[in-house]
Amino acid sequence: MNTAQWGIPAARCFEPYRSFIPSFPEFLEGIKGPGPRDVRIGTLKADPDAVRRGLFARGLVAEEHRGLKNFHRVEGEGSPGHWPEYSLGLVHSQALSSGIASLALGVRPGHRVLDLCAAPGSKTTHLAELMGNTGLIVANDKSLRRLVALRHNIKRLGVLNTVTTCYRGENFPRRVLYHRVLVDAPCSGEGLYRSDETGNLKSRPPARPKLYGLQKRLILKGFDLLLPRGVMVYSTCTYNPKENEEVVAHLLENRDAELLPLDLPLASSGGLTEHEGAVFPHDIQRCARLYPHRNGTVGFFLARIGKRG
Amino acid sequence: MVKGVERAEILGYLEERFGLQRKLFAGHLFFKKGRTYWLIRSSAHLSAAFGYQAQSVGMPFMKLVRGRFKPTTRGLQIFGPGATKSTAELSGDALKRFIAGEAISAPEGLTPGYVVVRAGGMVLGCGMVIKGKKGQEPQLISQVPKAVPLKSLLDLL
Repeated sequence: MNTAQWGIPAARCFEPYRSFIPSFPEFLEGIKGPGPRDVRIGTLKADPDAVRRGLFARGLVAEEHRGLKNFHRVEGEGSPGHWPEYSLGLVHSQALSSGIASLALGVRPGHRVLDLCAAPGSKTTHLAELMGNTGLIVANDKSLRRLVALRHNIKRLGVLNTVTTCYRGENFPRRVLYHRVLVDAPCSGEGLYRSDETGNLKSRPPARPKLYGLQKRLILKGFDLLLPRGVMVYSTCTYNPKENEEVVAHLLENRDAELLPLDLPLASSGGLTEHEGAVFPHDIQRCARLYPHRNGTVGFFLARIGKRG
Repeated sequence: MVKGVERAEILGYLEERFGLQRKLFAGHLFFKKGRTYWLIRSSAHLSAAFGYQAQSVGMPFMKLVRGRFKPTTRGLQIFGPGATKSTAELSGDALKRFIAGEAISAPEGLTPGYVVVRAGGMVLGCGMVIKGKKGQEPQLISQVPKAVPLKSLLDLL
């Protein structure tokens, strides 16, 4: 297939970000070819060490990622979805950066947690594992169709502490407040874009959807559902500051929120303090930007937010 | 929430059929919708979820089929390792045929009803032993749903 017929040069697509993506030429090289594939070995149904030994023996995974327990880079050509371990609910395909978001939330056994945009459930099921299948997770998604995938992954991976709901995130009912809230917001997905060897994107990206309004409403809703001294993580898989720093800044302007430090096991850059004339609070630097050429994972943005109380 | 006599019936079935002791389920609650029983870990926060319109509560654990309890495959994958009765360990040609959806001769000692099917030390899911026709031995057939594809297991075992 001649991707040049429908791909645009990655350099042109990402030119607006040249000023802040570190080592821009390396970034363009770093998104060539197929994306990295990682799996998370589940902990709820079997001994993860036994599963790991089986995967090593068949040459399917590399060593565990440092700082990301039970995450492994996939080796070879086959898809993890075809592994018997996948069918039995012993592994799950999940990007490293996605795993970072769950870890950054700092859940503990017994917590009450809200995952506001949960489908298809990579982070929900990871959170359940981190909580030892205790406490309660309310996993919400506005799409009944996407909830099917979420419920399938919950069953497949042996999650027993989760209730699913189907509300528009920005209208999620305020019945109780949560120790932890995850807002993994719908976004333009630029962090997932890959190019071919000629440097053309492998698919024509959609016109950058204007999700900023929705993202701002989601972050405010998520924050309002936090207990005092609760923690929220806002995350996207895009580079666009309008969907990232601008959304976080909107929260800081409208709520008594504070940005908490992030201690990540992957290399990251700090949040931007200004973009295209907009100036953001100094603390925005505590946010994290993850780039494929620095980490070998999808592009990502994270903010860890505290509610004073 | 399923309580009292109905909960006791479920736990009684699991103990009688599979040897799963009641205390295994001490920290779990059952909810029923239609003919499906859902299982969720008990938590001090669970009442918080009662205020929402829930799409699912935990995971589907048992169903009522023609008025009888039927465990789900995913439920057995979690609790089946502790079963001491009504278990079928398969390998070789019998395993291949079971995964292909064929009826196979039931391992000796199994009575008609649902069984925990194992292979290579892992619980695959639910099978059902049915009486054979006249002169035929009891048969074991898969109750594992298509959504749990097992063919790839043959590469492993």
